[in-house]
Amino acid sequence: MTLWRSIRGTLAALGVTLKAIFRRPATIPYPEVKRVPAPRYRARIVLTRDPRGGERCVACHLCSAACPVNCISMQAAEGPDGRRYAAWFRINFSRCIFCGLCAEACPTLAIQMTPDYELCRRDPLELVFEKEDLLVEDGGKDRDYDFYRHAGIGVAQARGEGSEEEPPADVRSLLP
Amino acid sequence: MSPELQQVGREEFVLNMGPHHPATHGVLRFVLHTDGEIMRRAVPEVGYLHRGLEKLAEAHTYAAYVPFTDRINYLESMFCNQVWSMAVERLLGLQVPRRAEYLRVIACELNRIANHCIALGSIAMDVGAYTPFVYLLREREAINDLLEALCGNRLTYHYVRIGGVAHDVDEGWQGKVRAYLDHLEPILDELHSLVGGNEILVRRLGGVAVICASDAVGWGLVGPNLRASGVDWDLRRDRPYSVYPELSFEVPVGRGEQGQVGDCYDRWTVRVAEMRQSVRLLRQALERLPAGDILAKVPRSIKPPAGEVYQPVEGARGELGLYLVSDGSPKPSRAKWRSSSFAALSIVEHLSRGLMIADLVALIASLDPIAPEVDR
Ligand code: SF4
Ligand code: SF4
Repeated sequence: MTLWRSIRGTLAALGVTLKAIFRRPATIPYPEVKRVPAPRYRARIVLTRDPRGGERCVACHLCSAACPVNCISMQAAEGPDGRRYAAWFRINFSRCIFCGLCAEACPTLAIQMTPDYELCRRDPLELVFEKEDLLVEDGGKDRDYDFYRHAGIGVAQARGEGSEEEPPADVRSLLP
Repeated sequence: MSPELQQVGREEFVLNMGPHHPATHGVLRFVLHTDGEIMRRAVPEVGYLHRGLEKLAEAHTYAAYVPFTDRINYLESMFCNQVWSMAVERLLGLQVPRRAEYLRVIACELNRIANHCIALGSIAMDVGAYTPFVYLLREREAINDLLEALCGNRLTYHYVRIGGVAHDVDEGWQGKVRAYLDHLEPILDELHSLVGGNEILVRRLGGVAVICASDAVGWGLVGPNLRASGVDWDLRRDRPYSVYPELSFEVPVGRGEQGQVGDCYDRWTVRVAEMRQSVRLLRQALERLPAGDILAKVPRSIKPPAGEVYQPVEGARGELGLYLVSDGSPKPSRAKWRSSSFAALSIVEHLSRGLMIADLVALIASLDPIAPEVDR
């Protein structure tokens, strides 16, 4: 019985192996042929632009607050029309765990995940991406989305100029 | 044996296996006290992959900890996601939409098949058969592709969220899963003909390192390891959660086909049978997938009332539990993971007495421990 089992087991296994010779290989020669991941794939993060070509990000810090490993940092600044933007914006990809929580938190769809998985650098400091590295000339996943068409920029007149308003406080001064 | 040789033979030799050893499945060390080829005892040394994931939970909000649960066990991230979400949902008293529950079942069962592919492949590889490992990796790759299209990542899914799931299925995805299941079932038969009758594999696994039912229960083994010892226990059926009561499936137990109940070969066959049951569950879940929401109304800042909860699920390696204490603040006050690999490792010292060194490798592989889950 055991001998018969051994013969059958060996022959059946050989049959499977022979069949595999005629199968298409399951592997791809990587650097020459690149796999295209699913559109939902979470890899390199980009900052996108609105349909008119302006930066979408309003430096609201929601993404950096959502990030579980605190790898996003930025400095907010304000344009002449009261529109906020990020003076600098930095993502440290050597810390990022590609969870996608930042992209889910962003109200303006500025920060988005892309399927570009080739994120290797010889020097870890090169993995710290600045705003220039992150900005792309495109709207990304929802090209027509325009936050400022929904929310509007500030108000027509400067802050504190209205008849019932007080001028804004200087937050860096100790004086009352 | 001459008296002098008998004297020599009584000496003990201490041998280190690991921390970097292909058969220890991660960074894990075994200190083997041997007498020739025979083991006196093998002591597992754990802690090399300790990342403080339980302590990290105390520093993060409930929602921000979900991506960390992916890293508890990279082969069954979906279950870790799910157990965390279910525990928080129970603290919050949240009802999960039915579509989300079904999507969780689909994602989890796919994850279970992928995990068993690795488990079976590494059992075969550790006892000297390399080919099944490569074949099974090929099958797992297809599941990775499916899960990537669903969740956006191949290993750290971050898919099951508190209150539901992150993404709905795309057009055509269910068809792809069905096509894959049709492709997988003959592959499982092929796997059986490739290795199930192989004399070397059968002799390396059959009757080796037998765990009797009372030992299995006593050492806290769970999942396939427990069922291989003939204990009919599955949380999906015996402590029903999610929508499992609506689906029909069987719980395979070890029958001692090539030796005794509870040997390494049973731990192999139980896993193959579980993959078939997962295919069955997946077909039913895809069939019944209801329409509706995928995420419940979750408060923006999750602050569960003070309290504590223990939530187990039947993961790919068996009961994966989370004990979670909330003090009413946005961050948990304590999280404790009950991991199945840790329990599986604890029985190794007890079983190793009198085993051959080569059989220890088969024992470790058949218990399917994963080092990051042991240390967390
Ligand atoms: S990327 Fe989005 S979330 Fe982050 S600061 Fe800019 S607008 Fe806010
Ligand atoms: S993907 Fe996650 S870890 Fe990476 S920057 Fe976004 S929130 Fe942070």
